Amino acid sequence: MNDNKPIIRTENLSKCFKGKIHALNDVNAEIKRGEVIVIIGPSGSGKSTFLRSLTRLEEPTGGHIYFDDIDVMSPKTDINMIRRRMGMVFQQFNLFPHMTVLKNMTIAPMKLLKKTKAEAEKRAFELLKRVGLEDRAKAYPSQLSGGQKQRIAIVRALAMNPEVMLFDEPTSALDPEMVGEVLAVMKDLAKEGMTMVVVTHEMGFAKEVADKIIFMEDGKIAEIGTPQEIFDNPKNQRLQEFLGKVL
Amino acid sequence: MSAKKKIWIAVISLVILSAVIIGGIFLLNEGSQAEEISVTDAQAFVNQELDKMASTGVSKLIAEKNSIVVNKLSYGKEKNAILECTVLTVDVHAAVSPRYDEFLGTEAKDELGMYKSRSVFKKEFSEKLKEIINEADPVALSCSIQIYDTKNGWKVYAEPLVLDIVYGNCGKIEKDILSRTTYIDENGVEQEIGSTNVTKGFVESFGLRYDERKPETGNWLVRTYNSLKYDFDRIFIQHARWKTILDGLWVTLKLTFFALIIGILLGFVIAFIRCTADKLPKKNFLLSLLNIISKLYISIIRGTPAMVQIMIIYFVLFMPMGVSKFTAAVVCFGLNSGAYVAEIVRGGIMSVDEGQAEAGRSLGFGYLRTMFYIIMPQAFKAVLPALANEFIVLLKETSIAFYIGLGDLMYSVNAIRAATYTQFMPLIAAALIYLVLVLVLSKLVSILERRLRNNER
Repeated sequence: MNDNKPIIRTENLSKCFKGKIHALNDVNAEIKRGEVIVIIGPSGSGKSTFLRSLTRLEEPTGGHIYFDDIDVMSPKTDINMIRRRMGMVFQQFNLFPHMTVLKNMTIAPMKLLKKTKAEAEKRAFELLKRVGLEDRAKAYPSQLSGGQKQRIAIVRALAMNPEVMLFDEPTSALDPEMVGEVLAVMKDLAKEGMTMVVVTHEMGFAKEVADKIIFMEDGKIAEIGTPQEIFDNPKNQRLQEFLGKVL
Repeated sequence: MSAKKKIWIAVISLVILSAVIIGGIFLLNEGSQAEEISVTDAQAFVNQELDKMASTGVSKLIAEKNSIVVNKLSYGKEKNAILECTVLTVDVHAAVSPRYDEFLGTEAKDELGMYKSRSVFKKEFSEKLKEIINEADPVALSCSIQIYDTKNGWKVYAEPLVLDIVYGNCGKIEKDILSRTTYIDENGVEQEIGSTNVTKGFVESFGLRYDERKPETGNWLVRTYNSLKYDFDRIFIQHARWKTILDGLWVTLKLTFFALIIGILLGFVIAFIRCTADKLPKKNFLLSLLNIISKLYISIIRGTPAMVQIMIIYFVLFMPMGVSKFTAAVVCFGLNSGAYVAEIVRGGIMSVDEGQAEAGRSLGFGYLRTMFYIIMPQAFKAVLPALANEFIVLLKETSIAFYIGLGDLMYSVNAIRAATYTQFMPLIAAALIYLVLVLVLSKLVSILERRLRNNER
């Protein structure tokens, strides 16, 4: 596999709300296979919108997105096929409350990938074991702690064997003592070589895990670089201010 | 199989399902009213109708093909006794209608469906009667009589209003036909009616109630017990009136069941249309149109009383088309509850967190599958109490089918009230039956609810 070939590429990606506010303004970005990209920026800078646009959960109003050279924005593209290949983890977990943990993890592989129940459950247990929650397979989401919920949400996305994982502020809704367990799972995932795009405020995580950090400001990419470049030698004035506040 | 194909299959199977249900209703209904009855079948049919009427105690009529038989009844000179009365018996057509108001149709009623003033009604009644007899077309009408015999202590129940009319306005007609005054007894033999031989047998040959007086012996407890027993016997047992109630109950249950199915199907489909139309980013012409129709439908149904709806549906739309009352009632209550169910379900769908739909879609589920696997189960659980409430309301509301003359539970009870001149027992019986039905329904729903909720704990 050509390591330099981007799996996701955006060209002039724009999103306006009601024709006025530019949530995204000509964003050009490339994400290569195996890369961990962390997106940081003040609130309202368009990080989440950008992330959600990649799977068209947020409908962009202009520009292009290419996923594995498929034009995501084209009406001919079946967006559901793209979404199967991109896992998404939400701030609010969004586990299905009427299903057990196991069912949460197996429904998509069974219904979409046509796996048998046994196959899907085998894979689910592997994943649960990996995040140390195999004993909670029969539990309902309401019986889990926040950290457990988010770990389940991660493995639910992984159960579809996605090529890219998108994380939308995965630790922002968690109690501080639970942040660690979720970040550990994400680090583990990064180590395995999963392509990840993470919107987060966890600067420690960004420093440690990211291959590239994108700083967004007013719907634009203000600065892009390695963690060293971003944290040790920020060029953009807004980035300097931002880092001054969060670090 | 592509998603599109599956949607088509779903749509087609939904259509087939609806067709089967509607077909079922037509099969189950009590026959179209426009149906023609051959002359030979008619007699059997008349007899059957007469039995039915007898069981509700209205009056038994003596029917003979193509003839009008007028029975003159005279009795007594005492104060409360009725001296003379003419009973016009019927031919096939009138016999089909157990009550003169149906025979007269809606003409005798004003815009509100109420009888016009008594005098107007009497006038119309007698004119109608004259017309019928003048044409010599064998259409006549049923009359009920009420006779009190203070001397011998028996009683015949009927409707005094009719009697009054016969007295007041039919004198002339009476004279013309009196020469033919005969009646057909139970064995089908023609009998002369003497002016004084009013007997128990004669009275009963008309299917009228011939009663012993209420027992009035013993202390108050015994008297109360006897009185209640007597009333109970008279109201529910005699003429097998309890069967009438069961028949009515069966009609009520059938009506509720089919209306429920139509209501649920319609409600879910409309809720689905409304939610989809609201959410869809791009305007779809067909969907927008359906959405507008749905909104209109909901506002009309919710904005008008069910009683008006059922009258419009039956008297304006279905009766001229010859569709049965039962079908009309099923359609009306189905449409009615569909509107309410649609709004309840729409509320349920909207109450499910947007994140759930996003999570489903992010896994690769399309809109329909997200709805089906993720949104609907949660919405259904949320709206179950409200839905149960709607169904309880529906069950009770079917009682207004009585206004189009459908023989449901309330209709049976009313027939008994009219035939026995009692209010308490028939009405309490109706109340108890509805109460038991609702309690059973509530219990079933609470079991379902508990099961669904257990899932989450």
